[in-house]
Amino acid sequence: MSTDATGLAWRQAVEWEARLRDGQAAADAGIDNDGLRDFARWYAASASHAQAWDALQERLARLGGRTGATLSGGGPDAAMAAALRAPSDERRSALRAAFGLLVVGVGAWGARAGYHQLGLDADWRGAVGQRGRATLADGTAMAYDADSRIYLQSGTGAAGTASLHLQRGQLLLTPGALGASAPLTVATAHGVVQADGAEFTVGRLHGRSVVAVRSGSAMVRPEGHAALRLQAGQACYFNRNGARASDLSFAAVSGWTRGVHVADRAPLAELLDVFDRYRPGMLRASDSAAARLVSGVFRLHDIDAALRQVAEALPVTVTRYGRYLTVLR
Amino acid sequence: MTSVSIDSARAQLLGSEFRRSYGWLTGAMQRLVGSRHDAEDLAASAFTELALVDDIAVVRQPRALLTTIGRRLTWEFWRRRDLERDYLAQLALTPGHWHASPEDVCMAVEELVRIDAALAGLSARAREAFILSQYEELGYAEIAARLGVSVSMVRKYIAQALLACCGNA
Repeated sequence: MSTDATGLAWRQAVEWEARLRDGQAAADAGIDNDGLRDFARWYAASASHAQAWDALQERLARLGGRTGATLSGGGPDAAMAAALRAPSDERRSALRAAFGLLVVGVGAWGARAGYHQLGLDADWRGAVGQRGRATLADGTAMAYDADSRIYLQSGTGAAGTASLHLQRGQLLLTPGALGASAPLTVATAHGVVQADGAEFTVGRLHGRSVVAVRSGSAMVRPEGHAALRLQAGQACYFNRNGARASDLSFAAVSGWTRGVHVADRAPLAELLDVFDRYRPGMLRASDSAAARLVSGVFRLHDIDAALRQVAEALPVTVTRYGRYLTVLR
Repeated sequence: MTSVSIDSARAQLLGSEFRRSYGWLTGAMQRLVGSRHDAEDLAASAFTELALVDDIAVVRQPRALLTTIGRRLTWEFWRRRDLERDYLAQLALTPGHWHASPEDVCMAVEELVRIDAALAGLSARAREAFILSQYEELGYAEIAARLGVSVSMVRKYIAQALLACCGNA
């Protein structure tokens, strides 16, 4: 009986993990509000539930990857992924045939190595909690925020145009010493920023993107709206509803390069989106908490302290479920 | 009393089988894996497994059983070597600076072997969905698009893989 109950709690914990793991899918399925309440109820309903959840999170941490057991760079995770993709079936049949297996092995190995080499040349990805740097082919220096995803788009734009897709996170582009004049575009889900020899930062935040220019100028083209030009010192937010100027300085918007996040009447969801990239595990907020506006300067190297700061400024409660899931209501 | 005599009968049986077959098995293994040293390890492991068989006395052809065990061990040995090689190759390719100590690599490979074995029973898609979610941190929508399945299917794949990898409570 008790083992049945334990097994059931275990399967439910796995089901919750699978449902909550993907923020977007969870939101689409209406998990963010009702679901989190359901989860909290399930977690509190029985000691066996809490035990199963905590034990699952502990085991997940040992798997590496997203639960943050390996914070020391993208290396180990990429290596785990590559190794787990090692094909195995030819070896098994080779054991029966016992011949010609070396050829199969070497052939598959060469193809995989090439694939990964290409993949690594083509995109940048910061590990959770770790900012990164890179240099583009035209000499432009790029800094990117923790847990950012940046793809180099090939075959787009005119010759010599570097085109980046910022899927997640933030980046800062600084022209190279030679003063590269090739135009650069940065696309996010909310629109496109184009600049020519400018130093600027672009961030893909929750529900909107932000851009700030330090030197030179940039064109911002929100998806489905007319373009506008930003001059040095200006910043704006944009999404599919258009663009909105911001009072924030370039220094404030690019605060992440110095390990701080500056919020000016920003929805809490936006803050959590940034915090999420600095700490393993999941941060979730109820709809009402997510919509609350918050201002302040938050230090990214200590997210727990940043969350306490949020809890002091807003009427929200912070609940932790094991080491891994934190919910703000 | 009886258990002692059975155990001593077992030990005797295993001992004579070991004397009779160890050299033969090591030779067979060496032809498969190349190295004498590895072959000896594998042959020793095969005998260790043979010793765990409950009714050793009813095994009519110990060499046939040893061959079966040996094949599986060889496969596992190769698999481990593949996993380790791919893991290290990818680490070396990764731009940046991850310096792994031999102990770290050893632990990572142990974990890798465990996860690989746990995922072995899953469909290729479920396995890939898990890799994309766990190690490449893709969202379900993107995984669904890559695999050509629905988002809810991805969630099922992830749940299957988590049950397999994290075992039962």
